[in-house]
Amino acid sequence: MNRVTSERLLRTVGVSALLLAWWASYRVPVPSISACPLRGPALLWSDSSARALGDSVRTRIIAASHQAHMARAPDATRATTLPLVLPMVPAQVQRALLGALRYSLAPVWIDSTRARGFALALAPVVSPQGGLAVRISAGSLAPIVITDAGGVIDSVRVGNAMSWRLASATDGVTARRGNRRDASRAWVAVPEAIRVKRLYLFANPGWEAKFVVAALEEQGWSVDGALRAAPATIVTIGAPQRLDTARYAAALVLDSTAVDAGTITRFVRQGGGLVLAGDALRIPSLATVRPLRITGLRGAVPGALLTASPRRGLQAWEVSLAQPATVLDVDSGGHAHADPVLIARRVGAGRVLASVYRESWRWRMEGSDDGADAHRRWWTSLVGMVAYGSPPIRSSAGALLPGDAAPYADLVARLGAATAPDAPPRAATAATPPAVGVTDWISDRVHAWTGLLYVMAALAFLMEWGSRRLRGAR
Amino acid sequence: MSDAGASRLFGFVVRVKQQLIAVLYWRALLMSVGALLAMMLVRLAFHRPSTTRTAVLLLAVFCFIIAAISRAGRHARSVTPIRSALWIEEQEAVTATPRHAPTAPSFALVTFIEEALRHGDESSSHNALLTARATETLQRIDIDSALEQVTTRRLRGPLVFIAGAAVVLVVAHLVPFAQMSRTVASRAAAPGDAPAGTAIAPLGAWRISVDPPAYSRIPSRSLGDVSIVTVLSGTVVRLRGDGPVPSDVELRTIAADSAVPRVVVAQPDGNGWQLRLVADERSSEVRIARGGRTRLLLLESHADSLPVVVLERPSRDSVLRTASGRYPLVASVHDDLGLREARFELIISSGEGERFTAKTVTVGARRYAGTTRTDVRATLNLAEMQLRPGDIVHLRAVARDAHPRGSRELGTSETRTFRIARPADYDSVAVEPAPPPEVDKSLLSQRMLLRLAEKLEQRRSRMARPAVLSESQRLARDQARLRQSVGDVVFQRLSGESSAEHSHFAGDGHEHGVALTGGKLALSAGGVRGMIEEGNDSPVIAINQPLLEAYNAMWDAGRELEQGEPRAAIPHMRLALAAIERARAATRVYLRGKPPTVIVDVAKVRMAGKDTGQTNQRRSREALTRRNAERDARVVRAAQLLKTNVEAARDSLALLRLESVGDAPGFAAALDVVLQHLAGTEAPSETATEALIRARRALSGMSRGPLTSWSRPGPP
Amino acid sequence: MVTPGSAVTPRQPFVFATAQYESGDWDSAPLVPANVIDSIARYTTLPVAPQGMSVSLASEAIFQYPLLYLTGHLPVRFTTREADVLRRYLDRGGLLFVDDHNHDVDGAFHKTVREEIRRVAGSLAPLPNRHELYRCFFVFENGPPTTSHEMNGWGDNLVHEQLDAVLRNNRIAVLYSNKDYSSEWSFHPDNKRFLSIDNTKFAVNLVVYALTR
Repeated sequence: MNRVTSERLLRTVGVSALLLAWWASYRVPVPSISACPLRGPALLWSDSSARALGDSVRTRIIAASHQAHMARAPDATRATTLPLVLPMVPAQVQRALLGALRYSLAPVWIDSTRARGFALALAPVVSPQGGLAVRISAGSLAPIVITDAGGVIDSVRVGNAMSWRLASATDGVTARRGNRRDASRAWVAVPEAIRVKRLYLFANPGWEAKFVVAALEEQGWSVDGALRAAPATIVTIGAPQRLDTARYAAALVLDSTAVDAGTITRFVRQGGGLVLAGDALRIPSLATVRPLRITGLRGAVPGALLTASPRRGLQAWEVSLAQPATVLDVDSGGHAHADPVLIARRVGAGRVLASVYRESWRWRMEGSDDGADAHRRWWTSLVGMVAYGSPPIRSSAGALLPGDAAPYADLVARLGAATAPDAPPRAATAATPPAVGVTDWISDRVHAWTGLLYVMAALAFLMEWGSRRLRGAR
Repeated sequence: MSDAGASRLFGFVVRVKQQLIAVLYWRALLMSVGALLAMMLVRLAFHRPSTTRTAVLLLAVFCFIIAAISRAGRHARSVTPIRSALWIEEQEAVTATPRHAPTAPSFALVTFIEEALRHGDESSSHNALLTARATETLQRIDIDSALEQVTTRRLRGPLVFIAGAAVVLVVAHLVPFAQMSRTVASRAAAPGDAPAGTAIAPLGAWRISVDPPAYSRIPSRSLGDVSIVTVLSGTVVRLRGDGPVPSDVELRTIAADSAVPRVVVAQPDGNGWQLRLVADERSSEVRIARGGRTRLLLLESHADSLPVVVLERPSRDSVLRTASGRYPLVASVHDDLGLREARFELIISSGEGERFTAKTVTVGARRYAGTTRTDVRATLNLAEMQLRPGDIVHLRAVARDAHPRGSRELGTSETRTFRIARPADYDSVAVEPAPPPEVDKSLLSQRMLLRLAEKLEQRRSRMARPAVLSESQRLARDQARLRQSVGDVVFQRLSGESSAEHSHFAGDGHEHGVALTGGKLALSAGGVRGMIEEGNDSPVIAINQPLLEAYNAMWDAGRELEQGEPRAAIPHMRLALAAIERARAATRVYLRGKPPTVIVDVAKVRMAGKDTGQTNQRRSREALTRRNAERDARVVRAAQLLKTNVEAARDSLALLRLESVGDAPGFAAALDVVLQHLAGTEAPSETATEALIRARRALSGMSRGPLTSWSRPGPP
Repeated sequence: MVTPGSAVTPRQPFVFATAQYESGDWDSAPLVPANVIDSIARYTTLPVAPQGMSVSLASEAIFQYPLLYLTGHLPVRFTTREADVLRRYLDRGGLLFVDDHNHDVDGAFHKTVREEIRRVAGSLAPLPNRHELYRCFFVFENGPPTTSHEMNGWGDNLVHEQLDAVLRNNRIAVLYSNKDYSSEWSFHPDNKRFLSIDNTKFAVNLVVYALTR
């Protein structure tokens, strides 16, 4: 190839690049409605195609919307529809785009997402240790992957709904439903931690009171109370004051000590929490707030404190439920029927929780080497189930994208209900091949690489000119 | 002048012209090369320039080359033969030699070239005089020297730049630049560091030498430029680096409660610097900063473990009737680095009541020079120790390793006790019944009786029935005597009475811990001072249950033998033998004297005291430190950093691992897998991502559960 | 199975337990438990078992008794099993009260038991006399009460000003006394009526401390 041919080639490349850029720029303001795929079969809005088509799809939708708007003035009865097949719930921005179309188009969508009811909630755990309670409604059986900024936290097949307890998460929690290609995503910002109040203890001095207070204090709770060792001698814990929700998050009654039932009941009705454990279930004056009645005593299973079900190694009351009551945990080991061990109810604005176990301190002292930690976590969890917690400060990040916590609901709110719910996504794919032409592809690429195109043209012209001048030609 | 002379003259001028043009193009070429090198220098200045920046640089260089070549071409076109001739004539003044005094240019050569060009014939002479004058002019000029000067002048500048740039680049590559850049990348500039662009060179690579303590006999080693060093406590770690001494060196001990960093001073060392660190028993981190860059060195310390001592002989405690006899003592000793000394230590305590004396005696002491595993042997001669009845000898083996610290702890074995019995012990309830001799005796007898019974059974078919019956009944009597002696042991232990079975029976009104029903013994629920309620691991039951079984099996065997049925007796005798062997295995457990039992009448004395206590304040417990959330955030930051700066992420994770290895071993183990992957060493089957997820799970204590109507998380 | 309100499920009483170890004479002060029990009943309303328990240090049964009393005259060497069980006992929140019944200068019990405690729980350090142990029921302004054995010049001929302790999270895990309370309290509780000042009151503080801290 001689020099002149090379120069011609460079010239051609430069001119071609300029022509391509000019062509691409021409396509945006003057969309060819006749060639718009929206007029044809439904658009399959998969995540990958939405990302790949990007500008092109958006351009066409806007163009179609514009066309419909223009057409509406002379002939208001004519409605332009936008048929869509959604195998996943589109992202926030895409949902917003589709929602905006309602003012000019009538988006008609076929639901292949299987994500109806998909939602994510994140709440701080009422505990000095902090922590997060994650709740997910999956809609139907589906693999759910929970991630945060650090990567995957958990992945599991969720039937209908499930909850997690996490120590922490960074930059919000994302739940992904479905496979990676066509996944619906829900996102919630991490809320502020709750500032917990103190606990009030009613108990007699003994190993149970000692080790329950120890467990709670070691987990960061502040406990107030008074242990009467002799008629005139009291061992004061913390700085006990009047029991009210301004100061206390929950009250604990551990044994059949004498209590002021009126004060406790008023505290609970105002929103405070109450934990009744062991022999406290037999205090007659608390019968009105108790969610159960004692029917008998179940003996401890010898050696069970060292097994994987250590609580079976504790003596426990056998109970029958009083209405209203919610059973939060049962012991089904070794019995034909499941015995309720944690029963809760709401009284006024507060919550009451009853634990049937007696002498839980044996779990810490006589259990396995993990027993002390398990005992701490057990007690802090019991308190967390009922403790009064001030609502956390709303995170501004969460408020910016409120629809992300329940993306399906957000989609329905923006587009209306699906016309054909639960259509199989594979069939839709087969029936509607992606409406992507070569020209569209080129147009998109040109839009993406405009800068490169101009650099290419400039280089080609520069080299051609340099070569020409070097050989003396003008 | 001939035509040949004119032609030569013209040719000479054209050659000069070509040489001048060549100089122009050489200059353009050198300037292009210089531009390329300049670009490389700029790349060196920017660490890891982005693709865009590289593209801009390349474009600029390309433009410069085009411009330089274009300029050279334009200049070259202006260099005509006439201009060349004029240049030659100008050189007459410049290069005048002493022989040829400088004169005004005659322009003969220029005129000659003009003439020649005008006529279009460069090979013939049209004016001989002109040709002669031109030739004469040429002869006066040292044209080679002039060309040389112009070449030097035009090319010197670009050449000097190229050489300089090349030297800088070569030097930069000779210094392990890759390492330096990696090092620089491994730590972001710490706050307060000198700003980039300071005159002090950034901290570069270092070399590490490790000198373990002399007593360990571990050879010294050099490690090159590494960030994590695993050493024995007491090891001297020396860092050596090039350039100025780092001004900012901090050492922090990695402990549960992070200590305040300590400033360490680095010393100059030749052309570089040196830092000497001594590893203590806890791991530590060292941050070294210079020129706006900070590097991290982690010293992971391992303590020298204490010697492990196992006392093999004597294998159990003993009660001796007399303080005589020689007993072999054997202990096996092992240490990870080396032993210095091992011995047997005896504490002999004498006395009773409130008066006790004790003395310590050492037996069989031996010194070692770094042996890691050995047996220590000695003989204990009790007669030499002048022991008196009631004395107790506590015997154990101890060993010291080669660690030089004076207060170093000793490795110790279990302790065995020899007690010299008092004569009165055998009349007292406070006797410590020494099971080994008794049970051993029973064992031998029972085995002998079993063997006799088996022999009788073999001979039975050949013997007459009366003879079988007679011999069998004789065995039954022996079996009964043996049963009675076992029964005595059981009674003595459980009730403190040395009674025989015949004086006790169930419901006889006094408590002896066992009940005799139907000829057999059973533990009675109210006996043995409540020991039975303690569960199956009670030492009383552990030792007595087999003896009771033996007793009962002997009773069955005796009954069968009494009836002349040795065949039926043999299984019971075997059971009895097995039970005695089990009892023998539990010989370490023995009872001491039974203290007097005082039962307080609580109801009677309740609140009978004259004094009353005072109300008091209980001090709260402090919350256990939980660093899980903080550590999780650090893992997340490191995971994000992995995408952009692997070295920095590795440093962060290594530091986190060392900090958590004490209180969160599961988390530290998972991080170790991640670090192995990052270091490219042989990693387990788990991927780095899996290990990272596992590490976070170990921190988070994540728990799953069903979603209930109660809007709070359920129990763990 | 019991019916509610029946008397079969009383509040579990406090049981005073004495540690039984293989070496030495663990039962050298047999009347101390009864005396301590008597004092608890005499001054407090705490439910208490009328009789003490002896429990082997090598047995995990000690975990049922979060306060444990250990004494003796003779050298103490814990077996591997005893050391392991005791270490776990202290980790879980148990309190071990060790009293030197020998109270002799550099006595065998003193020397060996301190060594064993260091091996199992860490080094003993003097307990300040303003510690809450001396105020948690009766107030002992000058720290631990002296014993008649100290005053009479028995044994080491010293009056020990302080007790020693190993602390865990600001609470006593091991309390060590050279003062020979084992001799001081080893008498039949019925004989208390002959004392003008009850010398076992410190035992009440010890038990109340163990039950509430």
